[in-house]
Amino acid sequence: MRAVISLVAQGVIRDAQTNTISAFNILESLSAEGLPLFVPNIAYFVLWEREPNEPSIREATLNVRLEQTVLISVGARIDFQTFLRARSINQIAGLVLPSPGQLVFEMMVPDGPRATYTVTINAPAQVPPPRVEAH
Amino acid sequence: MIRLTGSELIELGKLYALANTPPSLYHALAKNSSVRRMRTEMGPAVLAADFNRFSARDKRSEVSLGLAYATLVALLTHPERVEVPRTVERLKWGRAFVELAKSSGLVTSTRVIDALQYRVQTTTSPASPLILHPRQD
Repeated sequence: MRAVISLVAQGVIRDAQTNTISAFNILESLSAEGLPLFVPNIAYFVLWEREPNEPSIREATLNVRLEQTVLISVGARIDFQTFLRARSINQIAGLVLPSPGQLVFEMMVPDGPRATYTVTINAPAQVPPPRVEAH
Repeated sequence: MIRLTGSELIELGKLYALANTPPSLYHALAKNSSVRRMRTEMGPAVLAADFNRFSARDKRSEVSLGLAYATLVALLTHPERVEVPRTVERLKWGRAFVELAKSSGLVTSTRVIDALQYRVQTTTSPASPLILHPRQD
């Protein structure tokens, strides 16, 4: 079993008629205008592939961490049913980032593969205070 | 069965006549506009019944075989949960089509995580969720 695609975007949607996936605004970095940074919607997409002789259900864990701080850690079952490929779309609403750093999204199967994607959270730009000149 | 025009039926017959391997015919039919229409406008039960009818015909032409294979592809790639017809073996490449649908099928699990309240909701959308019967050899 292996992760074929792993990405984070502002939105990931599946077309119900064609069963195709669209990801929009794929994120490589986020620049905070102030901290803490509130991210209302973010989606983590992973495409998994297994060999025919591998089990069809794997229990995985989805972790979202900012540097060493774990923000989210939930169980995420990967169910291939009768197929060899499975997609996981993890839509996260209301993520609060208290500081800049590396925001890591990962799905881990115990004793198995790991999918990961990192988004860099940039610190707010330092704006010099306005200079007031006396007349 | 939805209404197919004469040119649409001839197109299916041409695809069948020109295909030289099961994957070439399967993928050509999966992209065909008539098959797409069958998939979106017909339910799996109707498709399965039509497939049984078309595949049972004694007199087989390129068009009738093209139509039978097209119905099978529409059924195997249908977005709803479908049962693979036991009569799939009536067609020479029927079992190969089932295997192709199985290997090219995809399951999508969507997990919505409310990070503020730490609530998780999961839904699963199978693409072509085949229920496979054991072979009757």
